[in-house]
Amino acid sequence: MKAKTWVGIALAIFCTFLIVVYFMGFIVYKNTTDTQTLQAITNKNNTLQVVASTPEPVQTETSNTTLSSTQNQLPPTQVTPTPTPTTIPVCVNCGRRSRAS
Amino acid sequence: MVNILRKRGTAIILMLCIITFIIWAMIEPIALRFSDYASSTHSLGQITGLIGMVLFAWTFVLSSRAKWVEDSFDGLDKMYKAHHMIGSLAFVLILFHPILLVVKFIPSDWNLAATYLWPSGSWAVNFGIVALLLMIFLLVLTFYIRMKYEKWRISHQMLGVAYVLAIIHIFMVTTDISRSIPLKVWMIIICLIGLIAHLQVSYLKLGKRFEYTVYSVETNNKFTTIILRPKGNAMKFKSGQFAYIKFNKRGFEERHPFTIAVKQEDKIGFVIKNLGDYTSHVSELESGVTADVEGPYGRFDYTQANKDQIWIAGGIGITPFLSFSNDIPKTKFKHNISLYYCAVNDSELVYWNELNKISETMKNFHVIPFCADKRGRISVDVLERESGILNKAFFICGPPPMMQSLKDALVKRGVKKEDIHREDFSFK
Repeated sequence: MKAKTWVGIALAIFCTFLIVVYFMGFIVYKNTTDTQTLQAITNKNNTLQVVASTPEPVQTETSNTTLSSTQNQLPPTQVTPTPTPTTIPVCVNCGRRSRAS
Repeated sequence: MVNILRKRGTAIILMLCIITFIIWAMIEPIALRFSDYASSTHSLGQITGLIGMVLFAWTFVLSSRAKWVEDSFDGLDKMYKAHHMIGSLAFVLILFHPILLVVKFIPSDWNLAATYLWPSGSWAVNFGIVALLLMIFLLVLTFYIRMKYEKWRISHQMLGVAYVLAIIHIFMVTTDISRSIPLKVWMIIICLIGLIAHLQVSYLKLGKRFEYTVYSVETNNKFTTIILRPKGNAMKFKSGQFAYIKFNKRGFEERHPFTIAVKQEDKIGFVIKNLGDYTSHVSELESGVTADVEGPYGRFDYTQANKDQIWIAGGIGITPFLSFSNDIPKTKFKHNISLYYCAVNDSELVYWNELNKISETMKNFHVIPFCADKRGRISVDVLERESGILNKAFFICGPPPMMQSLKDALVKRGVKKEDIHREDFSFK
């Protein structure tokens, strides 16, 4: 076999290898980047939830979507405590209210 | 290939590769180097790179036309064949070097594999990548693109740049060379030899040079005969040898090899077939033009075989036999010689009358014209029938396919390989 032929074969192997490696490398890189982006978004959401100090975040089936994350960010309802009524003792004989108990 | 392996020069190259391997193997136990998939591919990548580099360096030595190199390959034509072969092998090994280094990451980490072969912040690796890409580009030009000689020469010279970048790469990158002083010293020696040879080939003078002037130029449509006269010392040579000539005239500055076909006292003559872009213009040379003659080169010598001989010339391959036939009366060669002069037709039989005259005066010398338009292509059957082939030495010069097919056929018929001598003119 001529040198020209086996050099051609080696070049073809080299080029095919490069194409495969770069192609697979690109696919893996793309997947990794997508995952990292989503991970970053999720992390951001969790941080916001912590800042909001809501009681327990409502777990929804689609908690990884932006919409549900927004729902989770609703401010908690402010509950005003009902004042406890003060009881004044009444005189059992005359029925008048007495400060002294 | 088999022929090349027989030469002393090939033994030297093999020895260089073995020494490199031994030094490399001594740095770390082989068992450890090939203990698992990752380390095995990494080690293979390293050794292909190292041996590829040694061979790359030696290709420059093989183009240096140094006398000791020519001697070790038994002629410049064989030396250039080895240069071609070793250069190709070096290229293939260097191509596989990054592949094997990267294969270890596959399939576990495609991302790392891809980034490994991509330029990065590491200059050591970047030099290697650029060297490899430049080498690929220049060798694709050499192997697959037909170029004019001058452009081809420049592209081949540029391989020196790829070589220098590769040297920077191997000494900068953190690997066995940086860890082991013996390997570092060995590679420095090899790389320096290659570098010196490259500088000599590209920028310094090669071989002995003689100054001649054009004495006469005769031409017909197909052939041109140029006779040169020495200005100072005449070049001493043996019949059948060749020289590189450069004419000091615009358009003729390229150095080309031609067989010294004619010898007239101290004058020398070259018979040139009007074939290529250079040779078809040599008839435009005129007397008085100075010529730089470098040589002599070649080991094609009929006196080395002390037995009856068959000479086979194809076309312009007659030139060394013209020189031989003029030499026969002087050497008083006693054995019988049959010269088969193969050509397309009668008009291609250059110097036919001169050969016939010698044949008439010498009883042991016979010239047989073999024109393709009348007798077809020459074959071993014809040689066997007309002259007999056993216990004879064969000297063949002509187109490479013709020489190869005749050689193969002769070997098949029982002729010993050492009895077949050929002169290759297909080198640049």
